[in-house]
Amino acid sequence: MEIITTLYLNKADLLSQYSNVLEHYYHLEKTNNEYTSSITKLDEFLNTLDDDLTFLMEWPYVDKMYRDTYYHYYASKKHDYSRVSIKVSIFRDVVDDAQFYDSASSIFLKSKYLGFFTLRPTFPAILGRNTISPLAFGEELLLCSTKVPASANGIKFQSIGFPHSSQDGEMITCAETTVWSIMEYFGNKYSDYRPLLPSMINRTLGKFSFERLIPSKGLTAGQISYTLKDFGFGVKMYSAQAYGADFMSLLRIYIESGIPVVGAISNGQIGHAVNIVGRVEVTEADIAALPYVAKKNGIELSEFAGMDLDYVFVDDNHAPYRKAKLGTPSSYYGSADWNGCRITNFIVPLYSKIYLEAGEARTKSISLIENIGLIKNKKICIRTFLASSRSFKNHANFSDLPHGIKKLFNSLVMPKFIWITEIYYEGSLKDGKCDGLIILDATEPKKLGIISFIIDDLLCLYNFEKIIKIGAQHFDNYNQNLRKYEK
Amino acid sequence: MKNEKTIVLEELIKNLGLEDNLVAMPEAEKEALIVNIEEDVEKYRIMNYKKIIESQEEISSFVLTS
Repeated sequence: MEIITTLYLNKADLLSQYSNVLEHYYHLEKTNNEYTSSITKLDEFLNTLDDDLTFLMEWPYVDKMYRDTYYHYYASKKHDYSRVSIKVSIFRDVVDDAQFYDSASSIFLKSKYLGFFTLRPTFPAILGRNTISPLAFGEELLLCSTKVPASANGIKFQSIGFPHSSQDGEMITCAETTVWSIMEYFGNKYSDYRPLLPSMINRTLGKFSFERLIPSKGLTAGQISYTLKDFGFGVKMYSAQAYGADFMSLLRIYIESGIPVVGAISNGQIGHAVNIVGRVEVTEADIAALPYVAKKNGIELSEFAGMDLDYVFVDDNHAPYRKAKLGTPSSYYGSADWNGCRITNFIVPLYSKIYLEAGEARTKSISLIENIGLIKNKKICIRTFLASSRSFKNHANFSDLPHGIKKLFNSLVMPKFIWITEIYYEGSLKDGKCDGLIILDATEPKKLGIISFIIDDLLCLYNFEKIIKIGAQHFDNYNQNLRKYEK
Repeated sequence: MKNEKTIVLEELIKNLGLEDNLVAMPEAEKEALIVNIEEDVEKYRIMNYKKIIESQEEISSFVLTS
Protein backbone atom coordinates (compact mmCIF):
# COMPACT_ATOMS: atom_id res chain seq x y z
CA MET A 1 0.00 0.00 0.00
CA GLU A 2 1.33 3.40 -0.99
CA ILE A 3 2.16 5.96 1.68
CA ILE A 4 2.92 9.68 1.47
CA THR A 5 6.60 10.44 1.01
CA THR A 6 7.72 13.64 2.73
CA LEU A 7 11.10 15.25 2.12
CA TYR A 8 12.69 18.48 3.37
CA LEU A 9 14.91 19.88 0.63
CA ASN A 10 16.84 22.92 -0.43
CA LYS A 11 16.54 24.27 -3.97
CA ALA A 12 19.22 22.06 -5.56
CA ASP A 13 18.03 18.93 -3.78
CA LEU A 14 14.44 19.59 -4.82
CA LEU A 15 15.47 19.57 -8.47
CA SER A 16 17.42 16.31 -8.15
CA GLN A 17 14.65 14.69 -6.11
CA TYR A 18 12.11 15.73 -8.73
CA SER A 19 14.18 14.05 -11.43
CA ASN A 20 14.18 10.87 -9.30
CA VAL A 21 10.40 11.02 -9.01
CA LEU A 22 10.02 11.54 -12.75
CA GLU A 23 12.15 8.50 -13.40
CA HIS A 24 10.98 6.10 -10.69
CA TYR A 25 7.43 7.24 -9.87
CA TYR A 26 6.13 8.58 -13.19
CA HIS A 27 8.38 6.21 -15.16
CA LEU A 28 9.69 8.78 -17.62
CA GLU A 29 12.84 7.84 -19.53
CA LYS A 30 15.75 10.19 -18.88
CA THR A 31 16.16 10.59 -22.63
CA ASN A 32 12.51 11.52 -23.06
CA ASN A 33 11.95 15.13 -24.10
CA GLU A 34 9.14 15.43 -21.53
CA TYR A 35 11.62 14.48 -18.81
CA THR A 36 14.29 17.04 -19.76
CA SER A 37 11.78 19.81 -20.49
CA SER A 38 10.04 19.26 -17.15
CA ILE A 39 13.35 19.51 -15.28
CA THR A 40 14.15 22.71 -17.20
CA LYS A 41 10.72 24.17 -16.36
CA LEU A 42 11.12 23.45 -12.65
CA ASP A 43 14.67 24.80 -12.68
CA GLU A 44 13.47 28.04 -14.31
CA PHE A 45 10.69 28.37 -11.75
CA LEU A 46 13.01 27.68 -8.79
CA ASN A 47 15.43 30.31 -10.06
CA THR A 48 12.77 32.96 -9.51
CA LEU A 49 12.54 32.00 -5.81
CA ASP A 50 14.86 33.06 -2.98
CA ASP A 51 17.75 30.76 -2.03
CA ASP A 52 17.18 30.55 1.74
CA LEU A 53 14.06 28.42 1.50
CA THR A 54 13.15 24.93 2.60
CA PHE A 55 10.90 22.96 0.27
CA LEU A 56 8.68 20.32 1.80
CA MET A 57 7.94 17.89 -1.03
CA GLU A 58 5.02 15.49 -0.60
CA TRP A 59 3.58 12.90 -2.93
CA PRO A 60 1.23 11.36 -3.93
CA TYR A 61 -0.93 14.50 -3.69
CA VAL A 62 -4.51 14.86 -4.90
CA ASP A 63 -4.76 18.34 -6.39
CA LYS A 64 -8.38 19.35 -6.95
CA MET A 65 -7.61 21.47 -10.00
CA TYR A 66 -5.53 18.83 -11.79
CA ARG A 67 -7.96 16.03 -10.85
CA ASP A 68 -10.75 18.06 -12.42
CA THR A 69 -8.85 18.39 -15.71
CA TYR A 70 -7.81 14.74 -15.43
CA TYR A 71 -11.36 13.40 -15.13
CA HIS A 72 -12.80 15.79 -17.73
CA TYR A 73 -10.09 15.38 -20.32
CA TYR A 74 -6.84 13.50 -19.69
CA ALA A 75 -8.44 10.24 -18.51
CA SER A 76 -10.26 9.93 -21.82
CA LYS A 77 -7.06 10.02 -23.90
CA LYS A 78 -5.23 6.93 -25.10
CA HIS A 79 -1.96 8.15 -23.60
CA ASP A 80 -1.65 7.21 -19.93
CA TYR A 81 -1.65 10.15 -17.54
CA SER A 82 -1.08 9.75 -13.82
CA ARG A 83 -3.83 11.09 -11.52
CA VAL A 84 -1.23 12.01 -8.96
CA SER A 85 0.43 15.38 -8.37
CA ILE A 86 3.27 16.48 -6.12
CA LYS A 87 2.83 19.20 -3.54
CA VAL A 88 5.70 21.45 -2.52
CA SER A 89 5.29 23.72 0.51
CA ILE A 90 7.70 26.60 0.98
CA PHE A 91 9.24 27.76 4.25
CA ARG A 92 11.73 30.53 4.96
CA ASP A 93 15.05 29.28 6.40
CA VAL A 94 15.27 25.74 7.71
CA VAL A 95 12.44 23.66 9.14
CA ASP A 96 12.59 20.02 10.16
CA ASP A 97 10.23 17.11 10.61
CA ALA A 98 10.26 17.17 14.44
CA GLN A 99 8.69 20.66 14.47
CA PHE A 100 5.60 19.30 12.72
CA TYR A 101 4.89 17.01 15.70
CA ASP A 102 5.50 19.62 18.39
CA SER A 103 2.59 21.97 19.20
CA ALA A 104 5.05 24.53 20.60
CA SER A 105 6.53 24.92 17.10
CA SER A 106 3.19 25.65 15.46
CA ILE A 107 3.52 29.45 15.60
CA PHE A 108 7.14 29.23 14.42
CA LEU A 109 6.15 27.10 11.41
CA LYS A 110 3.29 29.43 10.51
CA SER A 111 5.65 32.42 10.65
CA LYS A 112 7.99 30.66 8.20
CA TYR A 113 5.32 29.40 5.80
CA LEU A 114 5.31 31.13 2.40
CA GLY A 115 2.80 29.08 0.43
CA PHE A 116 2.75 26.07 -1.84
CA PHE A 117 2.88 24.91 -5.44
CA THR A 118 1.82 21.68 -7.08
CA LEU A 119 3.60 19.79 -9.84
CA ARG A 120 1.18 17.95 -12.10
CA PRO A 121 2.02 15.11 -14.50
CA THR A 122 1.17 17.11 -17.65
CA PHE A 123 4.79 17.13 -18.77
CA PRO A 124 6.36 19.56 -19.47
CA ALA A 125 3.63 22.05 -18.42
CA ILE A 126 4.13 20.93 -14.82
CA LEU A 127 3.51 23.96 -12.62
CA GLY A 128 -0.01 23.52 -11.28
CA ARG A 129 -2.14 25.33 -8.74
CA ASN A 130 -0.10 27.56 -6.44
CA THR A 131 -0.48 30.41 -4.00
CA ILE A 132 2.87 31.79 -2.89
CA SER A 133 3.78 34.91 -0.96
CA PRO A 134 5.70 37.45 -3.07
CA LEU A 135 8.26 37.44 -0.26
CA ALA A 136 9.37 33.97 -1.42
CA PHE A 137 10.42 35.67 -4.67
CA GLY A 138 12.18 38.43 -2.72
CA GLU A 139 9.60 40.94 -3.91
CA GLU A 140 8.24 43.84 -1.86
CA LEU A 141 4.92 44.65 -3.51
CA LEU A 142 1.42 45.96 -2.91
CA LEU A 143 -1.01 43.27 -4.00
CA CYS A 144 -4.55 41.98 -4.13
CA SER A 145 -4.16 39.03 -1.75
CA THR A 146 -6.31 36.27 -0.46
CA LYS A 147 -5.88 33.46 2.05
CA VAL A 148 -6.01 29.98 0.54
CA PRO A 149 -6.34 27.06 2.97
CA ALA A 150 -3.44 24.63 2.66
CA SER A 151 -1.66 21.92 4.59
CA ALA A 152 1.89 20.62 4.81
CA ASN A 153 2.91 17.39 6.50
CA GLY A 154 -0.46 17.20 8.22
CA ILE A 155 -0.42 20.76 9.59
CA LYS A 156 -2.96 23.33 8.41
CA PHE A 157 -1.67 26.61 7.02
CA GLN A 158 -3.04 29.59 5.17
CA SER A 159 -1.21 30.57 2.06
CA ILE A 160 -1.43 34.31 1.41
CA GLY A 161 -0.92 35.69 -2.08
CA PHE A 162 -2.59 35.69 -5.47
CA PRO A 163 -3.59 32.28 -6.90
CA HIS A 164 -1.66 31.19 -10.00
CA SER A 165 -1.29 28.18 -12.26
CA SER A 166 0.54 27.61 -15.50
CA GLN A 167 -1.52 26.59 -18.50
CA ASP A 168 -1.39 22.96 -19.59
CA GLY A 169 -2.03 24.00 -23.20
CA GLU A 170 -4.71 21.34 -23.69
CA MET A 171 -7.61 21.79 -21.29
CA ILE A 172 -6.60 25.18 -19.92
CA THR A 173 -4.91 28.03 -21.79
CA CYS A 174 -4.23 31.56 -20.61
CA ALA A 175 -7.88 32.55 -20.82
CA GLU A 176 -9.13 29.72 -18.58
CA THR A 177 -6.33 30.09 -16.03
CA THR A 178 -7.01 33.82 -15.84
CA VAL A 179 -10.68 33.20 -15.02
CA TRP A 180 -9.72 30.40 -12.60
CA SER A 181 -7.24 32.69 -10.78
CA ILE A 182 -9.80 35.47 -10.46
CA MET A 183 -12.47 33.11 -9.09
CA GLU A 184 -9.97 31.42 -6.74
CA TYR A 185 -9.07 34.89 -5.45
CA PHE A 186 -12.63 36.15 -4.96
CA GLY A 187 -14.01 32.77 -3.86
CA ASN A 188 -11.49 32.48 -1.02
CA LYS A 189 -11.83 36.14 -0.04
CA TYR A 190 -15.57 36.94 -0.15
CA SER A 191 -18.61 34.84 0.67
CA ASP A 192 -20.47 36.28 -2.37
CA TYR A 193 -18.33 34.11 -4.70
CA ARG A 194 -16.96 30.59 -4.83
CA PRO A 195 -13.75 29.11 -6.25
CA LEU A 196 -14.14 27.32 -9.58
CA LEU A 197 -12.64 24.31 -11.27
CA PRO A 198 -11.73 24.35 -14.98
CA SER A 199 -14.61 22.05 -15.97
CA MET A 200 -17.07 24.52 -14.41
CA ILE A 201 -15.71 27.28 -16.67
CA ASN A 202 -16.22 25.00 -19.67
CA ARG A 203 -19.73 24.09 -18.56
CA THR A 204 -20.67 27.75 -18.23
CA LEU A 205 -19.31 28.67 -21.64
CA GLY A 206 -20.77 25.54 -23.22
CA LYS A 207 -24.23 27.06 -22.80
CA PHE A 208 -23.59 29.59 -25.52
CA SER A 209 -20.76 28.09 -27.50
CA PHE A 210 -21.40 26.62 -30.96
CA GLU A 211 -18.20 24.64 -30.97
CA ARG A 212 -16.55 22.30 -28.48
CA LEU A 213 -14.31 23.94 -25.89
CA ILE A 214 -11.99 20.99 -25.16
CA PRO A 215 -9.20 20.72 -26.28
CA SER A 216 -9.00 24.42 -25.61
CA LYS A 217 -8.10 26.79 -28.42
CA GLY A 218 -8.30 29.70 -26.00
CA LEU A 219 -11.25 31.99 -25.41
CA THR A 220 -12.26 35.38 -26.68
CA ALA A 221 -12.14 38.27 -24.25
CA GLY A 222 -15.92 38.35 -24.63
CA GLN A 223 -16.15 34.76 -23.35
CA ILE A 224 -14.01 35.65 -20.31
CA SER A 225 -16.34 38.54 -19.63
CA TYR A 226 -19.41 36.32 -20.04
CA THR A 227 -18.02 33.73 -17.62
CA LEU A 228 -17.25 36.31 -14.96
CA LYS A 229 -20.69 37.85 -15.40
CA ASP A 230 -22.29 34.42 -15.06
CA PHE A 231 -20.44 33.88 -11.79
CA GLY A 232 -21.94 37.01 -10.27
CA PHE A 233 -19.79 39.97 -11.27
CA GLY A 234 -20.96 43.26 -12.73
CA VAL A 235 -18.32 43.18 -15.45
CA LYS A 236 -16.97 46.33 -17.15
CA MET A 237 -14.84 46.17 -20.31
CA TYR A 238 -12.52 48.83 -21.66
CA SER A 239 -10.72 48.95 -24.98
CA ALA A 240 -7.56 51.00 -25.58
CA GLN A 241 -8.76 51.96 -29.03
CA ALA A 242 -12.05 53.37 -27.73
CA TYR A 243 -10.82 55.04 -24.53
CA GLY A 244 -7.52 56.41 -25.89
CA ALA A 245 -5.56 58.47 -23.35
CA ASP A 246 -7.99 57.61 -20.54
CA PHE A 247 -7.42 53.86 -20.90
CA MET A 248 -4.32 53.49 -18.70
CA SER A 249 -5.64 55.86 -16.02
CA LEU A 250 -8.86 53.85 -15.72
CA LEU A 251 -6.88 50.60 -15.51
CA ARG A 252 -4.72 52.05 -12.71
CA ILE A 253 -7.79 53.30 -10.82
CA TYR A 254 -9.25 49.78 -10.76
CA ILE A 255 -5.97 48.21 -9.63
CA GLU A 256 -5.69 50.91 -6.94
CA SER A 257 -9.18 49.78 -5.88
CA GLY A 258 -7.77 46.34 -5.04
CA ILE A 259 -9.58 44.65 -7.91
CA PRO A 260 -7.59 42.15 -9.97
CA VAL A 261 -8.10 43.08 -13.61
CA VAL A 262 -7.93 40.77 -16.64
CA GLY A 263 -5.65 42.36 -19.22
CA ALA A 264 -5.77 41.25 -22.85
CA ILE A 265 -2.41 41.82 -24.52
CA SER A 266 -1.49 41.61 -28.18
CA ASN A 267 1.15 42.57 -30.73
CA GLY A 268 -0.93 41.55 -33.71
CA GLN A 269 0.39 37.97 -33.73
CA ILE A 270 -0.10 37.05 -30.10
CA GLY A 271 -3.33 37.24 -28.08
CA HIS A 272 -2.76 36.62 -24.38
CA ALA A 273 -4.63 37.08 -21.09
CA VAL A 274 -3.02 38.03 -17.78
CA ASN A 275 -4.19 39.20 -14.39
CA ILE A 276 -2.89 42.55 -13.21
CA VAL A 277 -2.98 42.43 -9.42
CA GLY A 278 -0.90 45.15 -7.83
CA ARG A 279 2.01 47.54 -8.10
CA VAL A 280 5.30 48.55 -6.58
CA GLU A 281 5.62 51.20 -3.87
CA VAL A 282 5.64 54.81 -5.04
CA THR A 283 8.95 56.66 -4.83
CA GLU A 284 9.65 60.39 -4.55
CA ALA A 285 10.95 60.27 -8.14
CA ASP A 286 7.58 58.87 -9.31
CA ILE A 287 5.78 61.73 -7.56
CA ALA A 288 8.19 64.31 -9.00
CA ALA A 289 7.55 62.97 -12.52
CA LEU A 290 3.77 63.45 -12.30
CA PRO A 291 2.35 65.58 -15.11
CA TYR A 292 0.01 68.46 -14.15
CA VAL A 293 -3.01 69.82 -16.03
CA ALA A 294 -4.39 73.34 -15.55
CA LYS A 295 -7.91 73.49 -14.11
CA LYS A 296 -10.30 76.22 -12.90
CA ASN A 297 -9.28 78.58 -10.06
CA GLY A 298 -5.59 78.29 -10.88
CA ILE A 299 -5.52 74.65 -9.79
CA GLU A 300 -2.82 72.48 -11.32
CA LEU A 301 -4.06 68.93 -11.09
CA SER A 302 -2.21 65.64 -11.36
CA GLU A 303 -3.54 62.16 -10.85
CA PHE A 304 -2.05 59.22 -8.98
CA ALA A 305 -3.38 57.14 -11.87
CA GLY A 306 -1.03 59.04 -14.17
CA MET A 307 2.05 57.53 -12.50
CA ASP A 308 4.00 55.18 -14.73
CA LEU A 309 4.78 52.61 -12.04
CA ASP A 310 5.74 48.96 -12.40
CA TYR A 311 2.60 46.84 -12.09
CA VAL A 312 2.38 43.21 -11.02
CA PHE A 313 1.30 40.58 -13.54
CA VAL A 314 0.11 37.07 -12.78
CA ASP A 315 0.85 35.34 -16.08
CA ASP A 316 0.40 31.61 -16.69
CA ASN A 317 3.52 31.48 -18.91
CA HIS A 318 5.71 32.71 -16.04
CA ALA A 319 6.16 32.50 -12.29
CA PRO A 320 3.68 34.74 -10.46
CA TYR A 321 4.31 38.42 -9.69
CA ARG A 322 6.23 39.51 -12.79
CA LYS A 323 6.72 43.28 -12.90
CA ALA A 324 6.29 45.46 -15.98
CA LYS A 325 5.13 48.89 -16.98
CA LEU A 326 1.57 48.89 -18.30
CA GLY A 327 2.88 50.27 -21.59
CA THR A 328 5.23 47.30 -22.10
CA PRO A 329 3.37 44.40 -20.47
CA SER A 330 5.48 41.61 -22.01
CA SER A 331 8.87 43.11 -21.10
CA TYR A 332 9.60 40.15 -18.76
CA TYR A 333 9.31 37.67 -21.65
CA GLY A 334 12.66 38.49 -23.23
CA SER A 335 11.56 36.88 -26.48
CA ALA A 336 11.29 38.51 -29.91
CA ASP A 337 7.90 36.89 -30.50
CA TRP A 338 6.47 38.91 -27.63
CA ASN A 339 8.02 42.25 -28.60
CA GLY A 340 5.66 45.12 -29.09
CA CYS A 341 2.81 43.67 -27.02
CA ARG A 342 0.34 46.23 -25.68
CA ILE A 343 -2.65 45.97 -23.37
CA THR A 344 -5.46 46.31 -25.87
CA ASN A 345 -8.40 45.66 -23.54
CA PHE A 346 -9.11 45.01 -19.91
CA ILE A 347 -12.00 43.40 -18.09
CA VAL A 348 -12.93 44.41 -14.55
CA PRO A 349 -14.84 41.96 -12.32
CA LEU A 350 -16.80 44.48 -10.26
CA TYR A 351 -19.20 43.77 -7.43
CA SER A 352 -22.57 43.63 -9.18
CA LYS A 353 -24.02 46.63 -7.35
CA ILE A 354 -21.28 49.10 -8.24
CA TYR A 355 -23.14 51.19 -10.80
CA LEU A 356 -20.84 54.22 -10.96
CA GLU A 357 -17.77 53.41 -13.07
CA ALA A 358 -14.24 54.73 -12.57
CA GLY A 359 -14.27 57.47 -15.19
CA GLU A 360 -17.58 58.89 -13.96
CA ALA A 361 -16.44 58.83 -10.33
CA ARG A 362 -13.21 60.63 -11.21
CA THR A 363 -15.07 63.20 -13.35
CA LYS A 364 -17.53 63.85 -10.51
CA SER A 365 -14.71 64.45 -8.02
CA ILE A 366 -12.76 66.76 -10.33
CA SER A 367 -15.92 68.69 -11.15
CA LEU A 368 -16.66 69.13 -7.43
CA ILE A 369 -13.13 70.36 -6.72
CA GLU A 370 -13.34 72.86 -9.58
CA ASN A 371 -16.90 74.09 -9.02
CA ILE A 372 -16.88 74.49 -5.26
CA GLY A 373 -13.92 76.85 -5.57
CA LEU A 374 -12.38 76.18 -2.17
CA ILE A 375 -8.94 75.30 -3.52
CA LYS A 376 -7.27 78.09 -5.45
CA ASN A 377 -3.87 78.52 -7.10
CA LYS A 378 -2.52 75.24 -5.78
CA LYS A 379 -0.82 72.17 -7.18
CA ILE A 380 -2.84 69.14 -6.12
CA CYS A 381 -2.75 65.42 -6.80
CA ILE A 382 -5.85 63.23 -6.60
CA ARG A 383 -6.08 59.48 -6.01
CA THR A 384 -9.40 57.85 -6.91
CA PHE A 385 -10.31 54.29 -5.91
CA LEU A 386 -13.13 52.05 -4.75
CA ALA A 387 -13.34 50.90 -1.16
CA SER A 388 -15.84 48.96 0.86
CA SER A 389 -17.58 51.32 3.27
CA ARG A 390 -16.83 48.83 6.07
CA SER A 391 -13.07 48.97 5.40
CA PHE A 392 -13.19 52.75 5.02
CA LYS A 393 -14.95 53.25 8.36
CA ASN A 394 -12.52 50.85 10.01
CA HIS A 395 -9.62 52.82 8.53
CA ALA A 396 -11.14 56.19 9.50
CA ASN A 397 -11.79 55.05 13.09
CA PHE A 398 -8.10 54.24 13.61
CA SER A 399 -6.76 57.18 11.58
CA ASP A 400 -5.45 60.47 12.94
CA LEU A 401 -8.64 62.34 11.97
CA PRO A 402 -10.22 64.38 14.82
CA HIS A 403 -12.68 62.39 16.92
CA GLY A 404 -15.72 64.40 15.77
CA ILE A 405 -15.03 63.68 12.09
CA LYS A 406 -14.54 59.99 12.83
CA LYS A 407 -17.89 59.91 14.63
CA LEU A 408 -19.58 61.69 11.71
CA PHE A 409 -18.09 59.34 9.09
CA ASN A 410 -19.04 56.35 11.22
CA SER A 411 -22.64 57.55 11.46
CA LEU A 412 -23.13 58.13 7.74
CA VAL A 413 -25.31 55.69 5.84
CA MET A 414 -23.17 54.29 3.03
CA PRO A 415 -23.66 51.60 0.40
CA LYS A 416 -21.43 48.50 0.47
CA PHE A 417 -18.94 50.18 -1.90
CA ILE A 418 -17.94 53.81 -2.14
CA TRP A 419 -15.68 55.73 -4.49
CA ILE A 420 -13.07 57.79 -2.70
CA THR A 421 -10.98 60.58 -4.14
CA GLU A 422 -8.17 61.71 -1.88
CA ILE A 423 -6.76 65.19 -2.40
CA TYR A 424 -3.06 65.77 -1.76
CA TYR A 425 -1.37 69.15 -1.61
CA GLU A 426 2.23 69.38 -2.77
CA GLY A 427 4.52 67.29 -0.55
CA SER A 428 1.73 65.30 1.16
CA LEU A 429 1.69 62.20 -1.02
CA LYS A 430 5.17 61.04 -0.08
CA ASP A 431 4.21 61.15 3.62
CA GLY A 432 1.08 59.06 3.08
CA LYS A 433 -1.11 61.94 4.27
CA CYS A 434 -3.91 63.60 2.37
CA ASP A 435 -5.45 67.05 2.76
CA GLY A 436 -8.94 66.35 1.49
CA LEU A 437 -11.32 63.55 0.68
CA ILE A 438 -14.45 63.00 -1.41
CA ILE A 439 -16.73 60.04 -0.71
CA LEU A 440 -19.14 59.10 -3.51
CA ASP A 441 -22.02 56.64 -3.57
CA ALA A 442 -20.94 53.82 -5.92
CA THR A 443 -24.59 52.82 -6.42
CA GLU A 444 -25.53 56.24 -7.82
CA PRO A 445 -24.77 56.63 -11.54
CA LYS A 446 -27.26 59.42 -12.33
CA LYS A 447 -27.64 61.85 -9.44
CA LEU A 448 -25.01 63.73 -7.46
CA GLY A 449 -24.38 60.99 -4.86
CA ILE A 450 -21.88 62.83 -2.66
CA ILE A 451 -21.90 61.13 0.73
CA SER A 452 -19.32 63.44 2.25
CA PHE A 453 -16.23 65.46 1.50
CA ILE A 454 -13.47 67.34 3.22
CA ILE A 455 -12.14 70.10 1.00
CA ASP A 456 -9.95 72.86 2.40
CA ASP A 457 -11.45 73.64 5.83
CA LEU A 458 -14.99 72.40 5.19
CA LEU A 459 -16.67 69.08 5.86
CA CYS A 460 -19.83 68.45 3.87
CA LEU A 461 -22.41 65.72 4.44
CA TYR A 462 -25.03 64.23 2.10
CA ASN A 463 -24.97 66.42 -1.05
CA PHE A 464 -24.36 69.74 0.80
CA GLU A 465 -27.13 69.04 3.33
CA LYS A 466 -24.83 70.04 6.18
CA ILE A 467 -21.60 71.97 5.81
CA ILE A 468 -19.31 72.28 8.84
CA LYS A 469 -16.17 74.36 9.25
CA ILE A 470 -13.54 72.00 10.64
CA GLY A 471 -10.28 73.79 9.87
CA ALA A 472 -7.56 72.50 7.55
CA GLN A 473 -6.93 68.78 7.88
CA HIS A 474 -3.88 66.65 7.08
CA PHE A 475 -4.65 63.00 7.75
CA ASP A 476 -3.72 59.35 7.05
CA ASN A 477 -4.51 58.17 3.54
CA TYR A 478 -6.38 54.91 2.89
CA ASN A 479 -4.18 51.88 2.33
CA GLN A 480 -6.43 48.86 2.81
CA ASN A 481 -7.00 47.86 -0.84
CA LEU A 482 -3.59 46.42 -1.64
CA ARG A 483 -1.74 44.34 0.93
CA LYS A 484 1.80 45.54 1.47
CA TYR A 485 4.49 42.84 1.52
CA GLU A 486 7.66 43.93 3.28
CA LYS A 487 10.70 41.86 4.20
CA MET B 1 -40.31 70.13 6.79
CA LYS B 2 -37.23 68.31 8.06
CA ASN B 3 -37.03 64.59 7.56
CA GLU B 4 -35.97 62.12 10.22
CA LYS B 5 -32.43 61.73 8.86
CA THR B 6 -31.81 65.52 9.10
CA ILE B 7 -32.96 65.62 12.70
CA VAL B 8 -30.68 62.73 13.64
CA LEU B 9 -27.73 64.30 11.83
CA GLU B 10 -28.39 67.66 13.50
CA GLU B 11 -28.48 66.00 16.91
CA LEU B 12 -25.18 64.26 16.23
CA ILE B 13 -23.57 67.53 15.11
CA LYS B 14 -24.90 69.18 18.28
CA ASN B 15 -23.65 66.32 20.48
CA LEU B 16 -20.20 66.62 18.91
CA GLY B 17 -20.13 70.34 19.72
CA LEU B 18 -19.94 71.29 16.05
CA GLU B 19 -23.23 73.17 15.91
CA ASP B 20 -21.55 76.59 15.96
CA ASN B 21 -19.34 75.56 13.05
CA LEU B 22 -22.24 74.96 10.67
CA VAL B 23 -21.94 77.00 7.48
CA ALA B 24 -25.05 78.11 5.62
CA MET B 25 -24.95 77.82 1.87
CA PRO B 26 -27.69 79.64 -0.06
CA GLU B 27 -30.08 77.19 -1.73
CA ALA B 28 -29.55 78.82 -5.15
CA GLU B 29 -25.77 78.40 -4.84
CA LYS B 30 -26.21 74.80 -3.77
CA GLU B 31 -28.54 74.08 -6.69
CA ALA B 32 -26.18 75.67 -9.19
CA LEU B 33 -23.30 73.59 -7.85
CA ILE B 34 -25.28 70.36 -8.12
CA VAL B 35 -26.42 71.20 -11.67
CA ASN B 36 -22.85 71.99 -12.77
CA ILE B 37 -21.42 68.75 -11.39
CA GLU B 38 -24.26 66.61 -12.75
CA GLU B 39 -23.84 68.26 -16.16
CA ASP B 40 -20.09 67.55 -16.19
CA VAL B 41 -20.70 63.87 -15.38
CA GLU B 42 -23.49 63.64 -17.95
CA LYS B 43 -21.18 65.12 -20.62
CA TYR B 44 -18.55 62.50 -19.75
CA ARG B 45 -21.18 59.76 -19.82
CA ILE B 46 -22.53 60.78 -23.24
CA MET B 47 -18.98 61.00 -24.60
CA ASN B 48 -18.43 57.43 -23.40
CA TYR B 49 -21.57 55.74 -24.75
CA LYS B 50 -19.84 55.13 -28.08
CA LYS B 51 -16.68 53.94 -26.33
CA ILE B 52 -18.64 51.39 -24.29
CA ILE B 53 -20.20 49.93 -27.45
CA GLU B 54 -16.86 49.97 -29.29
CA SER B 55 -15.15 48.23 -26.36
CA GLN B 56 -17.81 45.53 -26.26
CA GLU B 57 -17.59 44.93 -30.00
CA GLU B 58 -13.80 44.79 -30.03
CA ILE B 59 -13.48 42.62 -26.94
CA SER B 60 -16.12 40.14 -28.07
CA SER B 61 -13.97 38.92 -30.93
CA PHE B 62 -10.49 39.27 -29.40
CA VAL B 63 -9.01 35.75 -29.18
CA LEU B 64 -6.70 34.88 -26.29
CA THR B 65 -4.73 31.71 -26.90
CA SER B 66 -1.11 32.22 -25.91
